[in-house]
Amino acid sequence: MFNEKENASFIRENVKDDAVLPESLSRDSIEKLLSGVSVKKKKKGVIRRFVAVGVAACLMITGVSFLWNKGFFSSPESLVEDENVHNEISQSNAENYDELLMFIKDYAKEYKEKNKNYIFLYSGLVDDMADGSVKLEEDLNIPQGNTSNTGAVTFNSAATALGEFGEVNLREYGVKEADIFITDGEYLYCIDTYGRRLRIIKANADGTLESVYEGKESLVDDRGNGENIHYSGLYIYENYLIVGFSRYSLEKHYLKSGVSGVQIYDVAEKEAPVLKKEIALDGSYVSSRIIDSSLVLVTRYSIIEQYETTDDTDLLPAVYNGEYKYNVPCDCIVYSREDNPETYVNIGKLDLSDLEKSPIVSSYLGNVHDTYCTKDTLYVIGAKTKYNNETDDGRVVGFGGVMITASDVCTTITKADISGDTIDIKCRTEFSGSILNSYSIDEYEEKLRVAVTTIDNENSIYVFDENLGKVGELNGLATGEQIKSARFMGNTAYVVTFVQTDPLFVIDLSDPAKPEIKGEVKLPGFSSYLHPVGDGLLVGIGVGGTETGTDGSSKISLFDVTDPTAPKEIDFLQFPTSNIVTEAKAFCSITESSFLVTYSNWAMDDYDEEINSYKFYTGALKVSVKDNKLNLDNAYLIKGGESAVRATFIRENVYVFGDGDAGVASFNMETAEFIDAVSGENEKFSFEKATRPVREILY
Amino acid sequence: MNGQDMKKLIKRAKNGDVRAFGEIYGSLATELYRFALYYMKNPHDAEDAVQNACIAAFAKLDSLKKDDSFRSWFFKILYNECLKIHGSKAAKFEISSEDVSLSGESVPDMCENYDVLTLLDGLSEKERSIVILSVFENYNSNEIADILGMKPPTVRSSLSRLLTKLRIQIEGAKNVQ
Repeated sequence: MFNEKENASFIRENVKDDAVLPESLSRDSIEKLLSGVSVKKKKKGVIRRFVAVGVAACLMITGVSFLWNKGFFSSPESLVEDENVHNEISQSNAENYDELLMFIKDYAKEYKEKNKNYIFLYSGLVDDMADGSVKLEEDLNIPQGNTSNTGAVTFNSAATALGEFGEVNLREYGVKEADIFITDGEYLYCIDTYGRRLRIIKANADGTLESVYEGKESLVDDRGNGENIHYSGLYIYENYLIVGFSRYSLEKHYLKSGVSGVQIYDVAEKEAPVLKKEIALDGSYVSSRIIDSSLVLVTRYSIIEQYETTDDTDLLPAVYNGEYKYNVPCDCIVYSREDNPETYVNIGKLDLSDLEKSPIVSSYLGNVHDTYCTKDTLYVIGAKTKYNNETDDGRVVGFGGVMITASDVCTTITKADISGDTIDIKCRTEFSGSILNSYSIDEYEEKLRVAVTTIDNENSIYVFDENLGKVGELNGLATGEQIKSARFMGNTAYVVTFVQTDPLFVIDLSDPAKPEIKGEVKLPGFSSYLHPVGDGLLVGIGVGGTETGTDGSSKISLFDVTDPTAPKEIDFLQFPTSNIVTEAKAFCSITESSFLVTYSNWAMDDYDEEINSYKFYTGALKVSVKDNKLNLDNAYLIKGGESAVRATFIRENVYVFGDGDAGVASFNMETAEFIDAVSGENEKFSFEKATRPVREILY
Repeated sequence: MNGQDMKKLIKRAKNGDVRAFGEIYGSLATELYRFALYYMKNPHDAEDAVQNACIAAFAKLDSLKKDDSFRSWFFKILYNECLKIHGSKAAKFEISSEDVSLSGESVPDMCENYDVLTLLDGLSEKERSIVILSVFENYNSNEIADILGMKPPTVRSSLSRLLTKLRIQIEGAKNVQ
């Protein structure tokens, strides 16, 4: 196919273009016009036009100049100039909403004027057609919640992380995360990766599987009307199945409104979950955590769509507790006049031991795409991006599963204290660059450490104090490369950067004011996920490579980091591919030094006409670390139309979970024998026993 | 006109120097008129749009930031003026043969030279603007996005689709002959 430039040239060459500048628009005429002298035009009445122009000019000079000064993009204003900006945010003690509403409405007026032919929906655009109907732009992004940050954790205190069944791979010890595939040791609970259907499967002791509950899909009709619900992740808490969700209503495919939160089901009867409680906040689901008996929920609420409203309360964030809706109290909303009132971040906390209690909620004006949560503190990570008009050259930047093209990006981190009876939005900092994921940020001994890559591929480690003031930094880390993974462990940070080869850096953070590189090792490929396996050993899983770049394979490396000045790769295994490269939850610890990781390979001998693709040999690998070596203990593989995205175990059995709605397959952990499979709705994609021996598991 | 000269002229224009503004305008006049003409589909409205845009631009030169491109800034203003005039018109546009004969000649043979207005006919306002700015004014997608107030990825995908479609249309018309 021809590219744009060729097409544009072709069109230009074949089209007669004879626009001739009329006299009334000559330079002379315009100069006269601007000097206040009227100009005669051929056909239209001069006086009428000149008056109209005069009036328009007056209006413009006052109104429009103000608008233009605000900049043209709908996204926030200029990026941070200083290296580190931080401000204390004091809790608002407003007695009423008036000041906030006025601030929003003033901004809304100029925003509407600036964008009057467009209706912005989250991150997409809708065109107004001549006949009044709305047509969806191609890249409309309906908020889908955040499936990259989901996980499931059980609260069964008898089983620890290294116990009878697999737990969700956690970022922070003691802080549970939701996931799409979880187990409580007896049942498997899952949501298909489209987020449409909830399922409960009984995992019998012999490894056989029985689907006991299948939820309903959402309902949106052909004309795009209806309510759509999207499930993001699951928790099991005592007898409850807690489901993170986003619900939004559509009218003619036009997003009207959305709320997100958790549905709490009583699953004493697995065949018939009973909805006990639904708590939601305005906006789309970002993330949630369970800490002891509290559930913390974060949503992102864009009020741009509400600028047209006649009801002021639509401009304020609301809480939905069952059937009751109420606005977040005005003294729980925090903002500064520097913010653009376009989006709220809503933070809710729910007491799971007393569901009758209302959640406590605080909100602030800002943006969010990811979160990092410790037992007491929630760090909300947001980003601002900018496009450069002059050059057509933006870098693709990714954060929290969203990829956009930008010419610059900066990150804000907002700190909220979630330990008490209120949620206190404490302070905020901002810096140039982006952080990869929640493993690139870590709190330790009251200091916050972040690993950052800027748009120009400059990498740094910053250390902030409790008020998010910067107290230390390490710059110039592998300039020209990008951070691909990081893991903070106490006073040490392991950071992997990559452009053609992967240096693993060991960084000493024992002096917060002076982070220092202690040692490094260069390798082909790069690790996307780092995991300690005890005894000064670190496992890195990621992408394999050669001297000059990646080679498309995946790789598990074993690093000896006992001597920080001389880290070494002492063993590795290479294999086709795994989604661990983008999803830390594809990793499941069995013991401290053994784990499951998902695995995928094309079945080049099996092209399936029905799905127009080769099938996958897919499932999981069990790897253990013994005597400073990596051992491939077993491979649990089936064939399927989709690849495995999660793996877990219950006692002697291993379970893998497929992408899309491919279903679940079970194996014997010891013998790797395939036992059973439960397929999703579309049989074409479901898992089946691998009928041929899998010759090349590893490379 | 090089960058240095432009900067000096802008500075003078900001101080109210009409002749300086006129000189800058002069270097863009045909482009501006062409855009307005193809967008508005008739010369009268196009003239109105350009004149209004000049008045508006001259009035708020202060909002032009140091490193902004004067050309895109002016185009944004022009685009908004086109929208204003267009928005105030009740009836849909009809292309009469009078309007189409821009230079006084009769409508050219479509099979040989696909007339611009025919080419753009059937496109929505936004699509028309994207095509004009890309094909005739040589803007890239980021610049177009800035002028029209759209997101660059949207522009890129529309552009790709539109240019392909128009190319096929022209090739089709050529083949008919």
